[in-house]
Amino acid sequence: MDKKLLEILVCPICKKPLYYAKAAQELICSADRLAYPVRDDIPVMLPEEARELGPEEEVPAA
Amino acid sequence: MHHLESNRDYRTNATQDLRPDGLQRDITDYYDGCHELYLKYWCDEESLALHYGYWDSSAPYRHQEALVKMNAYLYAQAGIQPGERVLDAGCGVGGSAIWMARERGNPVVGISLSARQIHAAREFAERHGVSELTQFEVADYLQTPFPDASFDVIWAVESLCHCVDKGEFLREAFRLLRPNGRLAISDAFMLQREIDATQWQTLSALLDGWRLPNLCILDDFRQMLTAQGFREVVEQDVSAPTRPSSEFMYRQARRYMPLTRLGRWLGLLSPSELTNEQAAMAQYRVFGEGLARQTVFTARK
Repeated sequence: MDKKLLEILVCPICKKPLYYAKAAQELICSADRLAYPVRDDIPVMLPEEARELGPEEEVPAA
Repeated sequence: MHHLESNRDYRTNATQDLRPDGLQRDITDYYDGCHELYLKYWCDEESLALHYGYWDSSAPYRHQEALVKMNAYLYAQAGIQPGERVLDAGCGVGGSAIWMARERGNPVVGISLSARQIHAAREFAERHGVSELTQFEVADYLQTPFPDASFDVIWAVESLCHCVDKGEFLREAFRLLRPNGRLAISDAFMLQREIDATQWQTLSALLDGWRLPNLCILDDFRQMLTAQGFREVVEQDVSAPTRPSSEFMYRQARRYMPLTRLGRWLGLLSPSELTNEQAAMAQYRVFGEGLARQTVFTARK
């Protein structure tokens, strides 16, 4: 995914930085425990489309 | 008589999805369903515009030129400077963003709810040689993925009409703007609160067809801008220069009506293409009868 885009993106809910999980193609917010999908190189920054992280899923700091 | 209020959802169409994100889905379905229609019958690959044209010349109306002129008009009206960072809130297939990047050298971020539009916008930006200056992504302008004070300009051309609560839009725009940053809006606003049954029918065809929950009442919007803390609010009535494109749309819809009927009969049209035709007819009457007015607002944070 585009580096410059990644640099400016924050979580649409809490506005905190996101962690890019490259293998899973997700942008993760550790505060809200949400994973925003990156589909065909396009981050979908809609809370409605985000996956809730399971309780056991570890999240590295952004 | 129907009494209208701002910030309410007046859509009545049967396809209306009542889940909380139903309106988002409705808007995405509309633009995805009408994607080819817009590119084929409204804009070309130069203008890429899904908005009304601006035509203030006495020369015969030239549609593509008018579409591009709307960008230039709003850009000048908002006093945008080359190099300033712009958020195009509701960017469609990237027409305005690409124009600003290519013609004025502005870095522009465009957002839309539709992934299809974002794909198209990225591709068009590449073709126009401005991929470096532009970024496009799927996001909601009411809840954007950007930090506070990250833009010099928030640009919204005929996108404000898609949200229920215009105050919510203004709150997010205010947050995103740097001090002294500017807001540039072009949209249709209601001039009347009380409308009769026939007028309601016309307005309904427009709201349902284009997936608009409401058109904000002009007086209310002025107050919302001030209440949010915007200053130097300037309002321009652009009904006259946008009238030729409104008429162009009406004529296009009428001309292709037999084709639409055939397409409907053969089941070739998407639900949004069908209701779009009704809206394209209705918008001409809504403006012509003075129910609503196409207006440009600029303001400073």
